[in-house]
Amino acid sequence: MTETGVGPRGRLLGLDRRRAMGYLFGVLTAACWASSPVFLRKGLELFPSPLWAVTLGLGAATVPYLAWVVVLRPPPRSRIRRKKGADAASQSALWFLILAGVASAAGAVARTFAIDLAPIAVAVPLLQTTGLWTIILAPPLLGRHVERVTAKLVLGTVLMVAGAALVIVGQNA
Amino acid sequence: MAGVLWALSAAIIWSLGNIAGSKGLPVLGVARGTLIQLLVSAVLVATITLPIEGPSMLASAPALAIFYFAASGLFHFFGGWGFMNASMRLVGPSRMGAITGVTPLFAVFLAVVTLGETLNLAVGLGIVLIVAGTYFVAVS
Repeated sequence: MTETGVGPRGRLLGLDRRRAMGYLFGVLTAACWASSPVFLRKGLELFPSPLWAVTLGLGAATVPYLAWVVVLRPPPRSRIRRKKGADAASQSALWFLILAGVASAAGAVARTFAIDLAPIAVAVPLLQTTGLWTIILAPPLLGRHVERVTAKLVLGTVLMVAGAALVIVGQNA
Repeated sequence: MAGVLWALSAAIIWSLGNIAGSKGLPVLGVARGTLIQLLVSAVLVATITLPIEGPSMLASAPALAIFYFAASGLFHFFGGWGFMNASMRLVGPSRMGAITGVTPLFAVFLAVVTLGETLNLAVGLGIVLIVAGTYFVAVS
């Protein structure tokens, strides 16, 4: 093991390097999602429009991504072609990502209604069950050979959802 | 009851979105994939917001509020969705969804550091469960 925690044979902190990086990115996602409401709350105190808040937030995030893709041109996995001989895999991937975008937007709107109609201590723990639903839905939709759900993964997810519910209830007590 | 149904709907819709995203990301990559998701979401949400709230309402918004909304969006959508997709490409949607369950840990940390909140028994027990859950997800 080196000073950076990267060991020989592509291992990181005792885990397969690819998996460790995946978990690290997941933890960074969580850190970003926990930081965002701090600013959102301050903004809503000055201008109480959750819909404009989400719209402006999405706009602010889209512009730098657009600049990144247009200016820096990160190496593409595949090109998106619309003309004759279109790459079927790219077209299919594009539609899946459009679907993901539609679901993200629909989920954000549903969350707004949930938080508006139910107490935070009820709504937020239910919103945290996304991971559980993914474990239930991913194997049949992606194929059990692609998305391997183990007993430890199910146990870990259940513990984390229960823990999140306790933290949220405790903070709102 | 309606609030509960909306919350459950959001959780299920997001999980379906993650699964759909995981099918597209290996082909188009994280940067393009996240951009497509952001563009679609931004257009859809703007289409809902404009008729309900109206552009004149935005004109009356204080500049500081717009700054805070932009900062919130940079954290949640730019950083959050980018890292989420990077994670999903490497470990799949199930493990990504599970590991992001540590979000309340960071929320508690921020509340203690910035707002001076104290921990109670429920929060402490919740933290123990989240840490234990993270271990099981990591070794799964």
